[in-house]
Amino acid sequence: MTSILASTILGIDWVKILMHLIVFVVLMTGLTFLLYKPVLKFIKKRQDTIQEGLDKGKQMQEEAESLKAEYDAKLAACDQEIADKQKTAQAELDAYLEEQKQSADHDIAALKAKAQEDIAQERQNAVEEMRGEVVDVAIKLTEELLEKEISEEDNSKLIQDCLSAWGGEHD
Amino acid sequence: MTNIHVTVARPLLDTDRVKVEAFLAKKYGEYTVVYHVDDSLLGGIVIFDGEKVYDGSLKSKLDALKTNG
Repeated sequence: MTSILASTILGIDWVKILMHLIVFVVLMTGLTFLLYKPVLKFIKKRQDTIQEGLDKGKQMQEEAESLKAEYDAKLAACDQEIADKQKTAQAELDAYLEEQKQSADHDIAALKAKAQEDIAQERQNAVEEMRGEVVDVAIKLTEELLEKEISEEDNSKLIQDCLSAWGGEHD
Repeated sequence: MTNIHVTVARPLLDTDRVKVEAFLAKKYGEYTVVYHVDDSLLGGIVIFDGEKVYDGSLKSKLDALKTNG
């Protein structure tokens, strides 16, 4: 037995090597079952957890991008609506200003026509007044002239004409 | 009897007086007449019978011109 255990070939203790190999194998086998597989399992589990997190993150990113796209579309729609309403309001304002301008033009034309009418009336009144004054002066002159110039014959003729008109007789 | 007032611008000539009297007689029959002289009439005659005025004076004709101007 000792001779077997102590046998060497070429100076190498093959029994010890074999024993070491057997111990190594046993150790490795034990580590495999006690350490390697649990560690592997733990690593797999952790890997799955990480992957799950990555997948979830990717999903959330996609959802966020989808929401962003949706909000961008809504913002664009709001911007368009605002632009449309601004355009409509501007058109209404322009129409209102045009209406006010036309109303003002109409009022100005009416005032101008009224002023011209008033001027014409004033001119007519002045002409009438002047005509009256001229008539007054002419009549005054006529009175003064008649007072001096009417003859007995003319006066008699005048009386005769009146009596004829009133139903009298004349020779 | 009707009371007549006759107003003239200057005293009537006899021929004119005859014509006036003839007119009054034809129109009123019986009457009394008073003659007045008012040079503001300028000429012609005005007869007033108590109710109506017959105005044939030059002044009234000029006033009518002034009014109708």
